[in-house]
Amino acid sequence: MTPLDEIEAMIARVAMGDRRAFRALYDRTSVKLFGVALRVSGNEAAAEEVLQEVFLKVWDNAGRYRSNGYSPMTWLITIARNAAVDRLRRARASGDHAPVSEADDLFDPGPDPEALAVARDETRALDACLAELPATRAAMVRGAYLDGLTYADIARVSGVKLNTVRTWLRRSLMQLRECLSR
Amino acid sequence: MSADDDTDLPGGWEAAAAEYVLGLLSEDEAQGFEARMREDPDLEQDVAAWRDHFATLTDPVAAQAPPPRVWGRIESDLFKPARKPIWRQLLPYGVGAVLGATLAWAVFVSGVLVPQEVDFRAALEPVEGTLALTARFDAQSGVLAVDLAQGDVPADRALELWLIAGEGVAPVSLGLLDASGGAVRSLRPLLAERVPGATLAVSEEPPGGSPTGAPTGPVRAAGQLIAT
Repeated sequence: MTPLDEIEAMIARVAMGDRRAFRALYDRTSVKLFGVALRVSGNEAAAEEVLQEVFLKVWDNAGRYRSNGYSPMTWLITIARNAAVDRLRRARASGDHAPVSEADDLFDPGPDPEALAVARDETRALDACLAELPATRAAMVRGAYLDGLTYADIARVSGVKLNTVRTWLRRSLMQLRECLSR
Repeated sequence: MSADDDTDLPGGWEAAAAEYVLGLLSEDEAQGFEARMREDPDLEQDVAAWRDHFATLTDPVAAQAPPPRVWGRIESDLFKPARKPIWRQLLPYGVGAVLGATLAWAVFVSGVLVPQEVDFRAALEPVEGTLALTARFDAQSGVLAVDLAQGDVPADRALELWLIAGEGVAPVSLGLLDASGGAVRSLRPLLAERVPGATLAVSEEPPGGSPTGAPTGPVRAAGQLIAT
């Protein structure tokens, strides 16, 4: 079995209430998922709560996992990223977390950390296609996924009208889609 | 996404699929999108593909070990006290109790849920040799899991798992056990229907499995799947 098959088998066992498999799944994936939670939340206490929430969700929803040809890590990372973003947005809304500001370097993509990534095929594909977009639009996509930015955040920081921002980004997403399907 | 929005925004539902995955839709738009997605498999496929692509944005993110207390909290949340069903946690206690009683009554009277057995187990006892295995089948998810309980997996031979749905019915291969003597299978609905009362058997086969599609070697272990 490949490592991904093993993770898929663990999820299948968790769906049947197998606690040993649940622990094995945690041992295998929590390091990656905690890294993701920490990246999005930006603080350790929040990331711990996110990770806890992620595994409660995994326990409750493992039976709904369908492999549909994609990596089981995608399923887990999506749960972690969404939980972290939901939490971050609630904190921003209630003022517990600094609102998004220019300091977040939204429009300065900086040196490309993705270049250092392990070159998975999909990573290369998304990176190559993001590189075809204007740098500020690629930064918006990354910011939305990794920093939970909303259209309102992007509009406020950039001083561009929300509808204009949205029109830009949707065009960019279509361009991305076209590029990824090549 | 309402029909109005759709007219003045580029990209239509396809762009909305990416916005949905990025969490850029308002609550109303997201609900509208989900309703649309339920009727449109292409859109669902788009969402799955976007999730896969965007998840790679986390590839360069440094992995980090969580402190051990996180597992402790997960375990005590899930397993320590008897866990209340989620609707009981969400409702004030009194309402929950009344609703619970009403539900129980409704289920009892209508009989909708009463006969639903969701879990089947089998103990596969040695037939020739000493091999023994356990199996569990979850009818709800259609997942069958098999574990080695006793004996060794031969290094130069394969162990093949079979479902025998009744006397005189040809065994259906469920594939080979892995090197540790285990297997996890997601059974197709037609096969899953035949699980109640069926027998699981393990035969010894040449490497790669039976060349004929029927068991050719000695049966090493067998047992019946029984509802629990």
